[in-house]
Amino acid sequence: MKIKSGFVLRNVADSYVVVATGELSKEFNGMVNLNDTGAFLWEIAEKEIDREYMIQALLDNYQVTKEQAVKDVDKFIDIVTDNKFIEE
Amino acid sequence: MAECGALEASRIKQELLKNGRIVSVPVGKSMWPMLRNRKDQIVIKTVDCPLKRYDVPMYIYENNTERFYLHRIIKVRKDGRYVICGDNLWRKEYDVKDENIIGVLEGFFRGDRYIDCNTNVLYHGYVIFWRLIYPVRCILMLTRQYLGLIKSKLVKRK
Repeated sequence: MKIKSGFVLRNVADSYVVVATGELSKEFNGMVNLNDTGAFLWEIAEKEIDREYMIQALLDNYQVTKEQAVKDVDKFIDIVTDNKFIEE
Repeated sequence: MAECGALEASRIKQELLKNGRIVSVPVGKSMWPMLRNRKDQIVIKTVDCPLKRYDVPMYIYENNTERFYLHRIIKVRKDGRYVICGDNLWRKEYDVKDENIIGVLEGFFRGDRYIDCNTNVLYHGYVIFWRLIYPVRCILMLTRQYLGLIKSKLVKRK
């Protein structure tokens, strides 16, 4: 599983935003605002959504507890799944 | 027309008021070759100073408030209204007022490259060149339109 191709992550004025391009933009109206952690997880998810890997990556790159990392990753995966941002 | 179709009109207003900036994709070919249909990403910010020639405002038509359009100012009239034209259009709009405008193009992503409309020298070169060749483009666009009309009439006759 990974983020559908066609979504692009942009850093504009110190904010992270995701928009859909091409054919995907007919399906997804709007933009997704992400914080720093969200953008970090998004970049990983563009390649592959691997829960354990994402948790470890958060622990390696941010000063967070394991509980917080698990919570953040699970929340992130829920959001991209619920909004149908992912493909097999 | 280069509509900002990826976001609904009401949502664009909300986002601009909330964040002062939105990112979207252009829909249509009226700002080609600068903006490619559903491919590039545009960054729109709220208007914080008087607009000038060659700025690219996001505006609505009074009779259609559901959609926003994104075209270039080619002249600021003495009464403060704007003459506006898409880069890929020949027909001008003469009556766009400040109250129709809700944002202005700050920059855009072409591929992975961000082009700042205020500081990018190549962008300014493009704008000047594209306006200079407007008469030639007009002739080409009208000729193409006329030939298309003839072609469709011939097809109908068959």
